[in-house]
Amino acid sequence: MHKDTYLIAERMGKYLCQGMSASEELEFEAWLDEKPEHREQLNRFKGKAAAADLHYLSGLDSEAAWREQRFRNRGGALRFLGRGKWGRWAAAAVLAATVSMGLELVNWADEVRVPTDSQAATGQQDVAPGRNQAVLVLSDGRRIDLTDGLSTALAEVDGTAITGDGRQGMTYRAGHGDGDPTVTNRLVVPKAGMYSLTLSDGTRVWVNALSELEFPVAFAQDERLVMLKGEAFFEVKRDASRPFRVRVGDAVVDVLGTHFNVNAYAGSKTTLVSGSVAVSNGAQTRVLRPGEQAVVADGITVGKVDIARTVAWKEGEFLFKSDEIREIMAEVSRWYDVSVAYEGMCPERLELTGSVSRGANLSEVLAVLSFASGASFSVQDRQVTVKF
Amino acid sequence: MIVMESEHALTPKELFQHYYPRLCHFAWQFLRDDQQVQDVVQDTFLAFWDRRPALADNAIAIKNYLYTTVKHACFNIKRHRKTVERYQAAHPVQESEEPPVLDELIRSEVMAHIYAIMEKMPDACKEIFRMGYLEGYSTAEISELLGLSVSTVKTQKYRAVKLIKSNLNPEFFAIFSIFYQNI
Repeated sequence: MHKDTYLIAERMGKYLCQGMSASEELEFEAWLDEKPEHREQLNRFKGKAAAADLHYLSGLDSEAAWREQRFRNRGGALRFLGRGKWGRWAAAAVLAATVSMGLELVNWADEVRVPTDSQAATGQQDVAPGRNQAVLVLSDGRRIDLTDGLSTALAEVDGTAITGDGRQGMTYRAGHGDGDPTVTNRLVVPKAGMYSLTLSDGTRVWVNALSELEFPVAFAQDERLVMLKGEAFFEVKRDASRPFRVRVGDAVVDVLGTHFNVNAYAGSKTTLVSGSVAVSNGAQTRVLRPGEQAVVADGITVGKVDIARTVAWKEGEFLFKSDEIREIMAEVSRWYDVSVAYEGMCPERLELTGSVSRGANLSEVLAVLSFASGASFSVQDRQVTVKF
Repeated sequence: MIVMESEHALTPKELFQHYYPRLCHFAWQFLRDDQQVQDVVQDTFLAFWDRRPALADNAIAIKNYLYTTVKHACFNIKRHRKTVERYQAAHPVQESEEPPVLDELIRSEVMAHIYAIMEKMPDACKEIFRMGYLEGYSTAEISELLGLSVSTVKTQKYRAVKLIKSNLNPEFFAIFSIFYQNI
């Protein structure tokens, strides 16, 4: 519409600032000479005529205006996301539509690039999200790659059958005879992976990235004991005669029938979704009610937590509610198999709230985080640098 | 800034800070009221973030949208002012057409450009640049007015020009030359 107008303005500005090369200057002066109006127009920006304009411009405070803009647009920060070749950003926007930003702590991203010209922005390297992948270690030490599902059924030495459930997981079923509880399998989920399985008692377990679950292919008569490193979500099949136990380091989670999440990446955190569990560390035992989380460190601390946030990973979502950036980045690092470095001063009490699909590429997740935190994120060689 | 015209993408903050002064200046030419100007420009950006997905990803489309929105807002305010005046004077309201505003638009673009370039200069340079290139003082006049030697003024002028040129994106010229033939 005003393309030529902008270009004339650009040229005039440059000419007045002596910013042109000799040949451009010649070309421009030829244009000025074409019509008297051209030169008249130029002269209106010279000398005293420009003093008031420059004075006005010098009175503007763009920084303050930007703060004001952020304030006026709180809650709408994700509107920046574009479309077309930026469609992936748009997808992130939809997924993040539930984001409610903490008012004062929100900084709009300076890192999300908004293209301003027709030319394509240079393709930034991106990191694909994690997927269903794991290695199953059988009792004889064989390692089965479960990436994208278990294609052929397996049988353990005691007759337990292991079959694939599509891409996401596998199921253990007892064979004809009594199962042997001393036969154990180990599910090893690497960074950028997750996997789910149904144990022989019908209990379903979702195992998160960088985690290991060790379990007997058939459970004993008196208890169902599994060992966990990392994070898993359990939907325990009710069986009053055989308590389900998760051993996490020194802590044990005792269950009758319930849904709960154990996060033992650093210390151990058990979150109860429904039913009832008891968490003990040998010295102490605490019973959790739904919605409570037990943190086992030196002692056991119990507090209320947001269940949705705790189990979001299992639902294929990153969900942050007043979380610390470092906590979030630890999760991002596990799911995208990237390392994280920090530069600059992390603002005190910077807590972030937001959500994004775990199916999104890393750049989308970082875009959302960048909106929420005001930090800038750069990615190189699978290292994310967070700059404050 | 001319760098803006290259293919480089801007962050939302950069984009805001790039357009904010010129849009304020543009609105100011019509309204001459600081508070109203700021409201108009702030609201324009709010609308812009909403509309962005529907806009083409290029500087011209962005500029068109921003200037047009500011223009409409300014004319709405002016109409309202007139309505109030007329109401008070018990006169009937006359719908006025929005006049073309190309001169105002060019003025805002040029002045914001010059101001942005000046802002990047060191102070000594800035003043000499302002006096020499904008206010039309000769080197001798500047040296007299500022109490500097002629050679100092010349050096600063030279520095200013060098700074300006180093701030310009060479690719812009190539793109520009193509368009320029159409003007």
